[in-house]
Amino acid sequence: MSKSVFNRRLKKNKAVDEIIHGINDTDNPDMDVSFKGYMHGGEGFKLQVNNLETITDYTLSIWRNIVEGQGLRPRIATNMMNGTVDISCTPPEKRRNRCKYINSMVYLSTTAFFIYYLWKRHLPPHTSI
Amino acid sequence: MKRHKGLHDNDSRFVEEVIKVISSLDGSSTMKLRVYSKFPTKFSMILCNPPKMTLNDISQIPMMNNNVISIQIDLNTSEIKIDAYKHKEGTKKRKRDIDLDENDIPINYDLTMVDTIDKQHVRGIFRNVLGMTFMEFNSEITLHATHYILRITDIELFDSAYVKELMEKYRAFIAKIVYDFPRKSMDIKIRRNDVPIFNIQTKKRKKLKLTH
Repeated sequence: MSKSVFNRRLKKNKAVDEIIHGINDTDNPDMDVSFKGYMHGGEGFKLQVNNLETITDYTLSIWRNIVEGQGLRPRIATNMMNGTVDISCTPPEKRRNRCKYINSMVYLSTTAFFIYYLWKRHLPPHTSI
Repeated sequence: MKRHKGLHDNDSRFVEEVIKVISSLDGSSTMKLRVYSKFPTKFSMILCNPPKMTLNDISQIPMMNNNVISIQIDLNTSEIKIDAYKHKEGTKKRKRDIDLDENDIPINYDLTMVDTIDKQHVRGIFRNVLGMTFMEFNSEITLHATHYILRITDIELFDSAYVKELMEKYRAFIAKIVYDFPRKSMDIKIRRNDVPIFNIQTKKRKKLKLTH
């Protein structure tokens, strides 16, 4: 008896469709952009570009802009052996919440102040000659 | 088999030996070979439609030639890609060790069919299998009286050395790993905890003693 643990998602979301549409070049009808799949935990996806004749800086910068336009971070890897380009699109890393650091700073400074205050209180009174 | 022009005799011999070894397995009649040798220091051989092979069968390939860099498995296209340094090029470079990556199991993965006593090692194996690639894949578990079969399909290209490390790490639980190229799947046989261990896959390390 076999039971499925997980089946990979094949349905493309809106961002995938828009990126594929943007990358597809009408001047090069042989070029084919295919959806390879999602990454674990739904953290982005990968596209593959096939049948490329040439690739230039300009092409790559256009592709980068298309992906970044969807709020994603592109990582482009070219395989010269089989003439394919893999485009990994991942969501940008979230910035760390600064609130935690501010709270820590407040707690630390309060603690330091009280330590100083208690230390001052326990000092013998200063006698002037 | 014709000799490849861009290869040294030793490299050609290695290619022939690999073909001979794999051809001796059942179901290898449809296998084809492609060799890329245009780079000055490396060459690649791609075996298309190989037969069903165990991890041990694959592990014998690097033993035939010290210059093997990596063996990559593509189950989707049913291909084995062997990269190797050309003759007299390999000794300069040091091979890098492969580290296992652990990924958290996403919440939508269903492992309820696994018994409670086996959950710990099955989850551990799964975490490392997830670390094998960045991409999602299909997975199913078949329940047997003595073991589980974890079948992985539709997976991206991966390095066979990673799977070897996985087997080494969980040698008390993983009894066998089979690359079923005709079915485009990788089957991992995982022992149940209440079944005694019959044989453990061991990796013997040789100790070298330097004498002056």
